[in-house]
Amino acid sequence: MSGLPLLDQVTLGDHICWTVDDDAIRMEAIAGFVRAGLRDHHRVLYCGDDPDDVLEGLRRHGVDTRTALGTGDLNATTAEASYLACGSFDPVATVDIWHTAVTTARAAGYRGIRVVGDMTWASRRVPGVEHLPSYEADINHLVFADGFVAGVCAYDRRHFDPLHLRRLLWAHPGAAGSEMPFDPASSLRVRRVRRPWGLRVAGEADLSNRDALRAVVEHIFDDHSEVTVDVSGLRFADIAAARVLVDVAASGAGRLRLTGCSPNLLRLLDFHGAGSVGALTVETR
Amino acid sequence: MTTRHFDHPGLLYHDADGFLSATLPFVRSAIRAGEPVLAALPGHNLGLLRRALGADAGRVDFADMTVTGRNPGRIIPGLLLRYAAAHPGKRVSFVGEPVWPGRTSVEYPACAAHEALINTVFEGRDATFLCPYDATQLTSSAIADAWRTHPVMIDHGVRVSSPSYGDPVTTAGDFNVPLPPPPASAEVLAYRRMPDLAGVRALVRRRAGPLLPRERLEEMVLAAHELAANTLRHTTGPGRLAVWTEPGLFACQVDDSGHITDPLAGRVPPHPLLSSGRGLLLVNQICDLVRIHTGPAGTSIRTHALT
Repeated sequence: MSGLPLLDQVTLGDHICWTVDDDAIRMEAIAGFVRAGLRDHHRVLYCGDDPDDVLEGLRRHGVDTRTALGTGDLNATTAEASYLACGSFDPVATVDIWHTAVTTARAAGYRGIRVVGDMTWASRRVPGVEHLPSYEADINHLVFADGFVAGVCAYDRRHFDPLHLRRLLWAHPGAAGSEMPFDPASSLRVRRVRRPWGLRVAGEADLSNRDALRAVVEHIFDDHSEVTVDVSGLRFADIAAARVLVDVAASGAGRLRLTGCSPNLLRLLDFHGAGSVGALTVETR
Repeated sequence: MTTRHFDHPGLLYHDADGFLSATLPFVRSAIRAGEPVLAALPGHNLGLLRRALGADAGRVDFADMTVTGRNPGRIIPGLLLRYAAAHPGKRVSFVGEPVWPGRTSVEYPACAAHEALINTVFEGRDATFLCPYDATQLTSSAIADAWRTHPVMIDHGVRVSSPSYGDPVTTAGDFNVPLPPPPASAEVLAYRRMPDLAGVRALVRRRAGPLLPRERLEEMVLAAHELAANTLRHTTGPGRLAVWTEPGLFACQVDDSGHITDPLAGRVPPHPLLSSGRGLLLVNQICDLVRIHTGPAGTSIRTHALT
């Protein structure tokens, strides 16, 4: 066993692509993630293949699964009862499942939800599975931006084509591996802000999370036409990330105010012609 | 002169008088015609021309070539095309001296390739470039290269068409030469997957952090990141990052299996609607030197930041 704290830094609102290839490491990390959730009064959900094996594994790692299952703190279910509840993969229905889970967990007084999604089902010939990359990108704003759900999507490297896995990775703001802990400093963190309406974006925006950023940013004008994005916690943004920001402001769908821009981000925004986009206001740190 | 054409003479000067006797009339003629003129020269010659112009200096734009044109790859997009775009519909004149005696052997091939590619980029445009070369201090091979990269040359006041001028893209290709290997002290990192990009950035931050001011450091982190991201975007194989220091500079080199086939990559902005192709342009804008050696066997790109 690695003993690496792979998922210890995951907090509510994070959405992680976890590429695993070692069952022992996987079980140990899941156990740590579940324990932390139960400790923090989060509802913990496992959805995927072999939930009974996972529960057995949790017991071996000292989790009192019987009590947690009894109180509803923990729930383990198959992919067929969650992602594939309609008999195929339906992104809209799956998002509804998460929204319902959020509503019931809030009503029951939980501080949040932790989900471990074992995505092995998506390596099989399941109808609708082609929607998975766009689903993974869209749930960033539909589910995670509110900061109530932490999601770890476990993709077993042994079952997925590397190029497909790469595309799925792009849709997640953060990543972890068998020997690579989730590191919030080098991941993207996006959280909804209500006053002023918009987002707080932190961490590092690069090629590895580009689709996640794009999906979130392209929907910022869905509810309001005046949006503020606080980027003061954005330690790094690459050329593609800056392009995403300029493009959405140039779309004409609303007015975008960026606050806390670093000198480098200013340079990149300027590089993409931000100066001629009237709907974009830029404020420095 | 009112005809619309592109003119790119090289000027061999042997002393200050020779420099002024050609550049001064060139600049004055542009001023008389009411045309925008930009003089991008190393500090010494910049001062010389400015003083000689007297009151007319106010009608000329100046740039210190050792700053603005430190990286030769930045001169076309960052200086020349930008200046031309700022004066739409007008004939523009430049006095540009990108090759000066202090250029190092690592910098030089990028300078010569730049001189060749000016011909490609500005062909058919209404623009004149006068490129002074210090004939007493530059090496004879640098002077020979000036003859190869300029369709016409001015020497001792005589304008002649250059017998050794050839196809500019082919000539630029002759300066696509291997880089000297990184020193043994270089720290090396292999990267192959996108999550490795964070490691690329971390290595540059750690090694350049003590040498560069914070803002400059973040620029170099960005440059290394974009080069490594290009490896992952455009090639199937892994890439290798090497970072090291030399007296007065921080160096960073990316090696991968890609082949850059467009000789103007990074020197001309792509169409605004194209979403990619800006990485190298940005790297040129940021770094104090960008040297590229590319071919079917792979690509090496070296960048410098002066410390």
